[in-house]
Amino acid sequence: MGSISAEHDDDFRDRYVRSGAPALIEAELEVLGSDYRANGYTTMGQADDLGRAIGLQIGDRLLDIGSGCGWPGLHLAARHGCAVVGIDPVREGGDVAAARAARDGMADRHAVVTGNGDELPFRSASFDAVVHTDVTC
Amino acid sequence: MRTSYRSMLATAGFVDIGAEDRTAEYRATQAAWIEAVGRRSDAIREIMGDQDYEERVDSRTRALAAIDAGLLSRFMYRATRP
Repeated sequence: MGSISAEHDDDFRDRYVRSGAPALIEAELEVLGSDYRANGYTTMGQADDLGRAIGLQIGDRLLDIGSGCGWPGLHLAARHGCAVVGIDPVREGGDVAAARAARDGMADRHAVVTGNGDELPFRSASFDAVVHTDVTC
Repeated sequence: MRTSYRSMLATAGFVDIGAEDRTAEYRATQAAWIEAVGRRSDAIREIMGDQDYEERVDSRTRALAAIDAGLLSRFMYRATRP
């Protein structure tokens, strides 16, 4: 399983664990319009633009590479009625995403894998669409 | 050798590659983060600790300057795999 560095993963692990604090969620809502414990640059409007651009439909299977705590993959799945699989090198983000999916009644349309975008553990043609946001920044 | 994102997509077999420049929105979002976090600095310092907080604010501030200097950009790419 690949990773940028142990220090990088530790940094994100800390972020994911702390990201549910009320002050951080408030800031996220104000800046991005989301409440998925994100701290990147994909606003709600941009996430919706992305979903429209790739033509997501009910029943599609979406892969979100670098899924973090579930933004925007979970939102896209909720908005378009598709299933989403997230992959992120830090397990704690996936735990947060799984809890959010369960809370939103979407556990049956969500899965998360701890892994790296360089070594995707999926068979070819497993997904109808793939997204990644705020990964190369 | 630096490779553009567009060429990486093409090399990977994607076609119909489209790109939309979202740098202006990126700048606005980065500035909004600095302001939103700044207004909640006491609470967020308590969550992150002073060092981590200041490093994050510094990182965002430098990124904002880099955007303004034309060194950072943000694009939305869309492509299809035949």
